[in-house]
Amino acid sequence: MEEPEKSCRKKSWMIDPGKCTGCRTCEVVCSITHSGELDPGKSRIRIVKWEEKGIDVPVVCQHCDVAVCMENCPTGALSFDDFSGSVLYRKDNCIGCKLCMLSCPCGGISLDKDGGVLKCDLCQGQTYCAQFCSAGAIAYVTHDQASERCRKEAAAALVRGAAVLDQKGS
Amino acid sequence: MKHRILTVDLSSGKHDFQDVPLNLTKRYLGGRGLNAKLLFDGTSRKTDPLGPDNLLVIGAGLLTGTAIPSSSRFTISAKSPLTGGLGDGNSGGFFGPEMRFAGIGHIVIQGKAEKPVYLFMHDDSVEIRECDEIWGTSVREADGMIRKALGTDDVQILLIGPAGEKSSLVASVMNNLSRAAARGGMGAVMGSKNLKAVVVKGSRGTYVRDWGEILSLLKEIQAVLQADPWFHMFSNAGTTGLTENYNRLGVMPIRNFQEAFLEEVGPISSTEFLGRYARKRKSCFHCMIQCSHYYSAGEGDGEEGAEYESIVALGPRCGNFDLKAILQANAICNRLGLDTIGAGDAIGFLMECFQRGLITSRDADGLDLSWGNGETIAKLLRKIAFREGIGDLLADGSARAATQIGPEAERLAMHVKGQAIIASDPRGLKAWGLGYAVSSRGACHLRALPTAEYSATPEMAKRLWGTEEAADRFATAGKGRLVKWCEDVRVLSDALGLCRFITRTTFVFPEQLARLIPLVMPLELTPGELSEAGERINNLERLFNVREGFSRKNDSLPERFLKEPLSKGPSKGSVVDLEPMIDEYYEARSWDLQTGHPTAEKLIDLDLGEEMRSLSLYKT
Repeated sequence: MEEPEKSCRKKSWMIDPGKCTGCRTCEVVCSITHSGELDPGKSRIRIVKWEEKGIDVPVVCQHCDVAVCMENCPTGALSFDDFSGSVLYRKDNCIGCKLCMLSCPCGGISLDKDGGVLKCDLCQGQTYCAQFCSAGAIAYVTHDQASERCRKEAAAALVRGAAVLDQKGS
Repeated sequence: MKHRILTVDLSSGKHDFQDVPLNLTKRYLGGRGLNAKLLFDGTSRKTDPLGPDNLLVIGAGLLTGTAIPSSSRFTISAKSPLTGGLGDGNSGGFFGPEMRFAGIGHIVIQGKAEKPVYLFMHDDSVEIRECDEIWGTSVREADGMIRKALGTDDVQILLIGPAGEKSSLVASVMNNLSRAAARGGMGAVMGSKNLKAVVVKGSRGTYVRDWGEILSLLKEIQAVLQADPWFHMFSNAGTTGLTENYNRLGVMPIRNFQEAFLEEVGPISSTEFLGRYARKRKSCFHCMIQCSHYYSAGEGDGEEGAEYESIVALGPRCGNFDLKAILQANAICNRLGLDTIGAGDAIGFLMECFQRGLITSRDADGLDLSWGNGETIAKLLRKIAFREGIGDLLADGSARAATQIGPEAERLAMHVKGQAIIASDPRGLKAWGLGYAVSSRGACHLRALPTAEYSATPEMAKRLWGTEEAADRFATAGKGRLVKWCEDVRVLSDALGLCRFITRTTFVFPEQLARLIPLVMPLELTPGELSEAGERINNLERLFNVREGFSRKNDSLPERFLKEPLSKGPSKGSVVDLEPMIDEYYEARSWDLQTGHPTAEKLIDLDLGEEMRSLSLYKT
């Protein structure tokens, strides 16, 4: 088994909206582990749905290498944690300017009804949302695994595309 | 954690919040249980089901919206315009949990709005909003219009389609576009109040004693599910997997229950559904089973389903074996707000009337009523929802349609107490037949859901129900005790708000259920208290129906099941011997054998003395 500091630093989310069933168990486990009660409004990960089109998308902080939220934060409430490889939020320093939420390209930051913002902290490496995702739509995997999976899926799509072209006789 | 009853009077526009008294929670839990109590107290024999005096009660289960998995269920209850007795429909999805997040356990709606309205609740705020422009629209259109008017998608919406507006007695109440509280005509009651929709947004959390316990529980349940073959079927195929299973038993109704077995089930099988139409799995709130699907059969990508019941009701029961046409018909029902079972049953019934020369194409607006015509089925569904032409006759279900066509037709109406039979032929599942006959809401498989009849071991049957025959689906002995036992445990999942598919095999026993409660609310109930609550709820529902004039004579089955043996398949030659099963059931329940009324001793024993004394029948 890898040392936590190494494994965390080299991991990233693999989120597959095609597998997400919209059950929101991720919101349940995120909110109970962070706020001690079940409250989707306290969850750091949220499911966005377009039910009329059959779409469910888990949305969460991606812990970007170049974190725009952090760069925009005027008070240093957001900082990069080298140990876990995550962008961490400290409420003490937050003035509630919301620039982080507004500038995040991933929709990964929400406002907290009790002041400040809500943002994924990777549960000290536990990533409970991924652990309890029954659909296998949320995974927190090593960079190698992430790259390999993306490569394979793209390759499969190419092959499928070729098969369709074959069927059409082109 | 707030657990309140919200009462809204649509006539006066007033509303009121009350905390649920602890003794009511202990006696009736929530969901279907507390709904029954609120309905019993709030209505009388004189209440017209479609009049302003009737109540529409929307109840989240006691555990709905908590961290216990598969806790999405809620129940909508009213005096049923379909049966004249206690009525309810149950649904999953996300509406029930959102009620809980708003701190509301039950919503009691009374009176009638002058103009079409919808109700909007956000925590402590309650508004009645006029919506003339939304009245008359389909479920999908209305859902979109309400979201647009509120400027947010972050709400949960319960609503009726045109069928409910026209008070069709087979009208459903829909939520999350394609999920239905379909049975008992709840959509008609909502429509009779000029209430198009109930919208809720909650921003409160629900109690968790210790989150570590919840994570352990989730892991434990996941392991138990993995070991259960039924879990894999439901998780992979949903209830479409039952098509093969029930056909294999020879109990899948075909052409209005004239047959119950297909030599070749392939074209309507789960394999066909999953391979050709399903796009993605879809789940209710916080569920590990995730039995539903988004599917596409040419009407867009966001249709949810399909369920075994809907497939058979709109398919084989109408002689229709074209899965694409079935799925399209299912989508029509969802959009117009129709119970797929009640509407499909009415169409199958009409087609058999045509087969037997009791009705002509001319009587049916010139439609071709021959078996399996998918175009006719689609047209009839629209006519039912809008009460046009022949649709007006069918809109109140097969039982009422039959009384207008004649005595010959009445024999062909497959119902109990006016409610359509579901898609399992009791000639090959005897306990199911008894369950339909005695169910408080008319023909219903979920009150008892006696799956033990085909899945329990003989040893288990002997231990729990006194005879090994209870686990023999063709036997009559033991079925009364089996159905009583099943009804008393199944009601707990409706009162707690848990899904049947997790309480079906995993969390069946009161001992298991009692363990869950203190994890998510500051309340402890013993297994004994839970069992007693289950029995109490069933007896109160019976008492409700006794008040409405029901007795043993109403606990019946269509003549076809009692006299016409099935002609082929694994249940060939079998009929239902109902009366001995009813005797055994009444005995197990301590109900009077002649009348079917609960005895005074039993009611007092269950602490239902006050309710009992409100009936003149028990005063002598």
